Amino acid sequence: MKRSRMDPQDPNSFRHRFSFVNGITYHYVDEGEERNEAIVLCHGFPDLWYGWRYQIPFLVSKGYRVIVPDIRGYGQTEAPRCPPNSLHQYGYKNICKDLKEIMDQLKIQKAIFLGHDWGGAVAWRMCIHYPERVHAVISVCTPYFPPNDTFISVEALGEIFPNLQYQTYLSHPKAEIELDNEMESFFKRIYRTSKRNDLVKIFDGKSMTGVADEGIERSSLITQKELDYYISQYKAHGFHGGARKQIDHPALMIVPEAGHWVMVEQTNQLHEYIEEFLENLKKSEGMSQTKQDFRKIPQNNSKL
Amino acid sequence: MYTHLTRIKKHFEYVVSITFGAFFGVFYVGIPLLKDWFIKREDVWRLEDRSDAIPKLNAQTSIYGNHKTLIINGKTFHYVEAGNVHGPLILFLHGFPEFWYSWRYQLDGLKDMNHHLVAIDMRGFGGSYKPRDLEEYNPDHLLADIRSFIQELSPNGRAACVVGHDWGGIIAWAAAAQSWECDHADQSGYMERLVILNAPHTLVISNNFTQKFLNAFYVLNLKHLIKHPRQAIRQSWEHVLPCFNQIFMSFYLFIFRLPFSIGEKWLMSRDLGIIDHCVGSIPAEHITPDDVEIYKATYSSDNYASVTCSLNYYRSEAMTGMYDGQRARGIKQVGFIGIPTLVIWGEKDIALNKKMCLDNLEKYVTNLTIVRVPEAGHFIQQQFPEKINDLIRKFITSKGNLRDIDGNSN
Repeated sequence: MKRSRMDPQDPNSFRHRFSFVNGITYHYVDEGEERNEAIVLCHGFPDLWYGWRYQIPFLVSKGYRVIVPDIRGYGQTEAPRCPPNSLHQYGYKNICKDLKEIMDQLKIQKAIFLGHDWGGAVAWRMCIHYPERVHAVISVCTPYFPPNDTFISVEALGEIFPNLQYQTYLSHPKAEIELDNEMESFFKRIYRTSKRNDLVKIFDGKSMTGVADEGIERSSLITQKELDYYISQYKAHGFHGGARKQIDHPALMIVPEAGHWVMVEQTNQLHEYIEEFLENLKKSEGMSQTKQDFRKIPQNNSKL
Repeated sequence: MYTHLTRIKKHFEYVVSITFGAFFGVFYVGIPLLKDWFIKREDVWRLEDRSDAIPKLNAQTSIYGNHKTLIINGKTFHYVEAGNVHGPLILFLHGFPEFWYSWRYQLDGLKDMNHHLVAIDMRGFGGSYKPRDLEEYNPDHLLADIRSFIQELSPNGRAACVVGHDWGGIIAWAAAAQSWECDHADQSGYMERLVILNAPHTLVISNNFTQKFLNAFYVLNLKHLIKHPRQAIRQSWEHVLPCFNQIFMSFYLFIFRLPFSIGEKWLMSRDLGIIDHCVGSIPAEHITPDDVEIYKATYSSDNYASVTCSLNYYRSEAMTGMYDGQRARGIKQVGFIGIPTLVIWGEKDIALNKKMCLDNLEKYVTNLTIVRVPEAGHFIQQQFPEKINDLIRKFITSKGNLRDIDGNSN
């Protein structure tokens, strides 16, 4: 087929595929099929394959095959219903199994995993469950945390880290109903830049949707067309799948002047870091036995 | 009382369906399969690995048109287009077990018409949205897909023509009825003309069943039976024979509706043997082994999800309830179509009885032309592509009058 234009503003211009994976129908975008090196992009909450829209053309231009699934529960991938106390379907192990099966079907032996937010956690967990399939990991906004010996409930987590109390809110069934009803206002609150005048209180202790007549303006981070696409995708399953869940030292790269949505806000900076990492990876393959230390912290950052 | 009757009717239909399914499943499918498996020792469950062919599919088939995707209500649909992208829209709807590729000769041969030729992958097939929920294959979703496609791709919200074959035809009939209803209400219809290839109007065929069974019983009234017993029974049998004929021809339908994914196992046996079976009626010059490989690679490209999803058409309410929406809205003439319609019927169709499908059709479709093609089977657009292209071209450019169409019109 003619090479798709991969226009970030037009979700139609990417190559969409559907497949039967681990018992459900998965939707993913597959670009650069003929290439050998594969990168799997894992999105977070509340996001979609579409969150990587700027990264896909960039990585394809670098010579990689890019696979961007809608993770189980999101977008056009099936969101199987599960009872509140039996969430294994949406656990890391099962999601890693989904990704491994997609790789099996596409005959990809090893892939680089690039994850953001919850997707970053998935990328780290792939190293635990299927290390032989992981070539390298890039995680945006998510540090590495191995599985704990004891189970920490999400309420306890909220007590230890007060800024994570929104997760306690999201784990309750009523959040699903609220978010389903107020989709547009929720997305407008979430997709904001990190600029001071753009800040909006996302979680006020009780709800993430705010008062209905507050009239929040859409941030400049996201165009109306992109917002509409997100809403149309989330209308399919609501938030049932997404909201329900909660190495060797990696190199730490700091992106100044970026909030949560690094992929969109500071695309160029992120691309620079990714490019550097991938170049080093390729070089290190040449000298396969040496372990390189990629640790590097910029000296002149002031906006920590 | 009505709800009880409908519930009893539903249970009765379910029991009948399962019984027929079990009967046909055992004798038509099970025993030959077991014979091949145990006696001839064939490997009926082996599925060839086509993963190398899958990445090349789009490039291979690009000679017929450009591959595109369209997002409707958040769902991705894949289609192939040819001709003038800004011209009036001709939408092609394929059937089971096919995908857009069955229209390749039409995409190729009708390019000169300066229309926008679009062959879509229907929901559950090819590269389109594949939900596994049966509810997603209900008539309202299927009809909404067609309507959205027409609204997105045609220059003025109306398609110049919708061409449907098999399941695509069943849906096209219902879409034409809905479009006619909209035209009546507020001029918001979306179809100008309709072309149907070997597809029944489900309301007509179900009414034909009822009518013929009732006729068979009426003939058996006691007076007639005593006076002319042999004649009465012969007349009664003549009424009901096409019905039984159609039930036996549709044996696969009952097997698809059985539980335990028996339908899937059957379709995938003998390396997607259903495709070899279906294209057997198409002459070799129109379907090469490469084409068959393209079919099979498409069905395996999603880990055989499209095998399950395409069977969902048979399992959902689309089988019997295509016009339930119109009934619920209280439309007076349910299933009625007023736009010019061309029905092309291949008489050697082994799945559709022409009496059951074409009788009384003119009562529902006022401006109807039926062209019968005696030598053609079910996959008529691949068997006689030039003839079909010719008929479509004449029909669309004509004023839709009966006189303007050549061929053995009825």
